[in-house]
Formats: sequence, C-alpha cells, structure tokens
Amino acid sequence: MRMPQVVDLGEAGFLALDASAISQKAVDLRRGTGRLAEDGAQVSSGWRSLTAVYQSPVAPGLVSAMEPIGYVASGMSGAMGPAAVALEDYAQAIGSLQTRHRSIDADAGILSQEAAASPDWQSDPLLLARQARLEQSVSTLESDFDDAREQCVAVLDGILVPAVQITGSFSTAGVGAWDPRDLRSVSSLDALTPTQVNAWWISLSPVAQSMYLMTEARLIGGLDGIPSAVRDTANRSRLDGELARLVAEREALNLDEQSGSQRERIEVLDRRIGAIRAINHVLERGGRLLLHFDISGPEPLAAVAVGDPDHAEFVGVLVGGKGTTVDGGAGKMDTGARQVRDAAEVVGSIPAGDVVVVSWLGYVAPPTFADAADPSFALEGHPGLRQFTQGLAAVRPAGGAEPTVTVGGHSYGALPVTLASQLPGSQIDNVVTYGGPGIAETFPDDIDRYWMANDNDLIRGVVGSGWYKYQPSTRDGWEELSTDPFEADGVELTAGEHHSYLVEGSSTLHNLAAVIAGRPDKAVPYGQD
Amino acid sequence: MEAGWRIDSSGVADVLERGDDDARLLSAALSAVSVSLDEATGVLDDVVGAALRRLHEQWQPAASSVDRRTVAVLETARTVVRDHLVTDDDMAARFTSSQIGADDASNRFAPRTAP
Repeated sequence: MRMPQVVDLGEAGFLALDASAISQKAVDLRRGTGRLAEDGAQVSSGWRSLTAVYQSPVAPGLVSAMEPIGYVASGMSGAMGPAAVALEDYAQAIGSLQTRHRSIDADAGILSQEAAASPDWQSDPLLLARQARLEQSVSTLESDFDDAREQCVAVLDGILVPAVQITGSFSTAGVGAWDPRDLRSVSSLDALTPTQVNAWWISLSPVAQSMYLMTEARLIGGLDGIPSAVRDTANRSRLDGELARLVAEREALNLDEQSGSQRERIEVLDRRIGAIRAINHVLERGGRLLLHFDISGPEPLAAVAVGDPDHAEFVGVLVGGKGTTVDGGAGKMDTGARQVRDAAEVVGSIPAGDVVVVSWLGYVAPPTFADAADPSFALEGHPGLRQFTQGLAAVRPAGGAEPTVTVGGHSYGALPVTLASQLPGSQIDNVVTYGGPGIAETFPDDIDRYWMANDNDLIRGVVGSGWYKYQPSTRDGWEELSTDPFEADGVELTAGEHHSYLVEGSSTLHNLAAVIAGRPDKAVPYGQD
Repeated sequence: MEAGWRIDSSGVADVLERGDDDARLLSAALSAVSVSLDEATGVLDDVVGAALRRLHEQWQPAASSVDRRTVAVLETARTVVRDHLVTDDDMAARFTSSQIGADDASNRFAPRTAP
C-alpha cells in the first residue's frame, strides 16, 4: 500500500544545525570572555606595583597608561556576554524547533497511514482537520525559526566592542635620548603659568614630548601654553577610547534594574557621550583644532578653534551664555565661529588663516533662565578663560608678534568675559558683549570694549536684578554697536537679536567680525545705521 | 616641583617580567575569544553566522589595540627606566664626589636602591 503524503514538512533549515554544538560554542565564548576580564584586570593591577620600585614624576603616567587595559578588557568581556547569551538562546530555540519537527513528522506519518487506509480520506472532515493543524504547525515552525534568527542577529549586531586608544606616539617613544630631568609631575604642571608651561614644553626632547602625549594626554590637552596642534592631538587621541568606555558603561547599566543613583549616572554618561559625538561632528567639518576636552566634571567642557590660533594675527574667542553645553551647543557655536571668521576675513581684507575664531565652552554655563541671575557660574569659569587667552600669547616665539585677541560674550557669557578681562595679565585686547544682561563693574582702560543689545533679547528680563546692576555705558568707555538692519559695503544686513547675533548676513555678525578683524572703524555704531 | 627619584633596578626588572607574563596571558585570552567566535561561526547557519562574523570583525581591531597598547606601555617603561639610568650615570660622571655629597651618595646622582 502506497501512503499518500498528507503533510509537506519541506526542507527546514534548522534541521541542519547542531544545537548542542552551538550551545557548546556559546559556553566556550562565555568562558573565554570571563578569563579575558580577569587577565585584563591583572595586567592593570599588577602594573601598579611599578610605583613601589620606580619613583619619578613620570611613574604615575606610566601606571595610568596601563589602566585602560583593565577596564577596556572588562568592557570587551561585558560586550561579549550578550553574544554568548544570544547564542545559547538560539541553540535552545533550534533544539526546541527540532523536537517540535520530530513530533510533527511522527503525527504526519500516523496521519499518512490512516489516509492510506481510507480511500476517501480527502472527504473525511476529521482527517482533513488534522491535516490542516499539522500544516499550520509546519508553518509556525518556519516562522519561529525566522524569529529566532532575527532575535539572535539583532543582539549580535547591536554589540559595540570597546577598544583602547593607540596613538602614533607609541611607535616613536623609545627612540632617541630620554632625559628624565625633563619630567614634571602633573600637579607641578598645573601650578605653572601658560608662559612657564610653554617654556617647559619646548625644552623637552621629541621623545619626552611623545611620552607626555602618550601617558598624559588629558593633562597636555588641557594645558594652556602647549601649542594648539599638540593639544589637538592629545585631545583627539582620547575621543574614541572615552566614547567606547562610556558607551560600554551605559549599555551595562541598561541591562540592570536601574536605581536612583544609576539613573543619575546614566544622565551623566548620556551628557558625556552626547558631548563627544557633538565634538566629533564638529571636527568632521575639517580645519578645526580641539583645544580643550574635559569630561571629568558633571558638565563636559571643550574648546574648538576654526583654524590654528598659533599662527593667526587675529583671534576671536566666543563664550556662550545660558544653557550652552557641549552636547547641545558645540555645533551651533562652531557654525557661528566659522561665520564670524569668514566675515572677519572679508571685513578686514585679511588673508585666510590670519583670523581664527574659537568656540570656548570651557565653563559651566547656567542651565536655566532662573540660574542666569546667579553669578557663581561666571565666577567659577572666568579664571579659565583668562588663562586660555594667556595661552594664546604664550605659544608665540619670544620677540614675535602676539595675536590681537577679541573675546565675545553672548548673553550670560558677557559676565565671565568681563570678569576675565579684569584679571591682571589677561591677553585680551577687545571685548564685545552681545545680548548680555550686564557686566562686571570695573574695567581696565587698555581694553577696547563694545556692546550690542536688542530690546528683544530675552535675557534683558534679568537686567537690574542683583548682580546685573552694572551695564555698559559710554561714560565708562564702552561703545554701543548697532543691532538694526543696515547696509555695509553695498550689502543689506539683517537685524540681530538674542538667538541670532551670529546669523550669516546679520548686522551683529558684521560688527563683531569688524572688531575681531582689528577694524572697529568698519563696525556701525548704535544710532548711525 | 622636582619630585625625588628612586629606582629599584631589580624590582623594576621583576615588575616588567611579571608585566610581560600578564601581557602574554591577556593576549592568549584575546586569541581564545577570537577562536571561539570563529568556531561558533562554523556551526551556525548563514544568517546568524554572518552576524557573528561582523561581530568578529569588530572584535579583532579592538583586541589588537589592547595587545598593542599593553606591549607599548611595557616597552615605553623599559625605555624610560633605561634612559633614566643612563642619564643618571651620565650626570654622575660630570660631578666629583665632593659635589655630590661624597660617599653617602655613592656614584649616583639620583638616589636609588642598587640592585
């Protein structure tokens, strides 16, 4: 008797897979990654014993250079955890599908036997119903196989493996003479002025400089007085590693049940991750130098130059106001800086490269409008701005021309800018505040000062409150520049106000550019437009 | 500002040797994971196998970066310590014993523990 084939089981792809083999490989992977975390931790912790037998200013740097190995290995191990779980789940799913397939196959065989015994089986509603159920089961098997694959692939494709930063300095360190007398401790460098920092740096041998770049990139990248190109190299060398580390930590927290402190940590991590991504986005525009990169505090800080300030005749430093953050504001500030640079080149008929504009996000700005009445943000941040401008001059060769430095403070930024300008030794030549709520009280006579204000500036709402009782005035040597529409060199310029002072084609952009370019005579004073 | 110097030469040699051993173990662990990924890919179907291969491709440069950095730090430390000792000797040779504090300072400019 020939049995009819009442159910077509097809060629199920999962039948060719060995579920136990997949499961075993998942176990191997889990075991291997566990060992990796332990071995990575041992490398870093064992290396710390170097400080017991070698003491010099560079010893901490040598130890810290190995620290990332432990946490990156741990991150790599952690990243592979979900892969092992996904493979184990997949192996289980395959095993289950194969069991179900065997069961369906057996039921189909019985049904075939019964159909063979009944010539009219295709008219038998009970047999037909069983046939339909079995066919449905076969169809479900296939869709479940697809689901299992998709689920496993989604997990595997979602894994980001952290890497440790390798800079070019690794390949050059060790070449040539090394003079440990050149070395200084981190704390001792922090105490130096930008001029002293520069003198120390240029006295180092190339090998020593490479050593510092390798072991103390964070320090070198943030030191005013170090050449801008070096700071850029140091800061950029940290971006990928920091991002990978932060993302790995962020993903690990996602996997756990989140407590209040974990949520706070996630917020910090998100800000730092967002800041690095924003910086990367700006750097991708090209022609930028990353002069500052600090994610050690609650709010990431940075400074990005459009061009190389070490070789420019005119340098503008823009300082943002309320709510300016690296992750939320670096892109917009950089766009404004580029537009100011372009406009300054035109207004001053200055060759490309001789005007550089820096987005200085080196202080924690007040996050809300209410906070804008609090001077503590400016009081905390202004010494860093003063030192940054000192660094711009310190990197110039002895006896060479120093840059003309203009600092522009937008909104609340007017406060740190005017405070920094009052400190002794500031290298600021011009100050421009725009859309500011007020200024610091006194001002040195040797600094030219300009202000722009528009009645539509939202920040004017806090004028007269507490700290902001001091306003720029012509009596104190300030010159007010126009924010109204006007024509300059045959070009119609639009009005500028609170959020659009640096918009291309605006009168305010023109005026700020004119001052930065050393041509304040080309700026349009208030009331003369 | 100028921190004191101290080198325990034999201690440094021990730390470097242990560092080499730890680095070798770490390198072996990185390779083991790579082998596991490779073997797992071999027992999978095309779709999941391709995803695991993509992960493996991401893994390799990361593993290489860890390997390279570990070795680079060890080699840099060797160079720093060696150059430190050479400079020590070089400086010591420029001074008479009276200038460096006579017998107490031995013939070393920077104080250190002799091996």
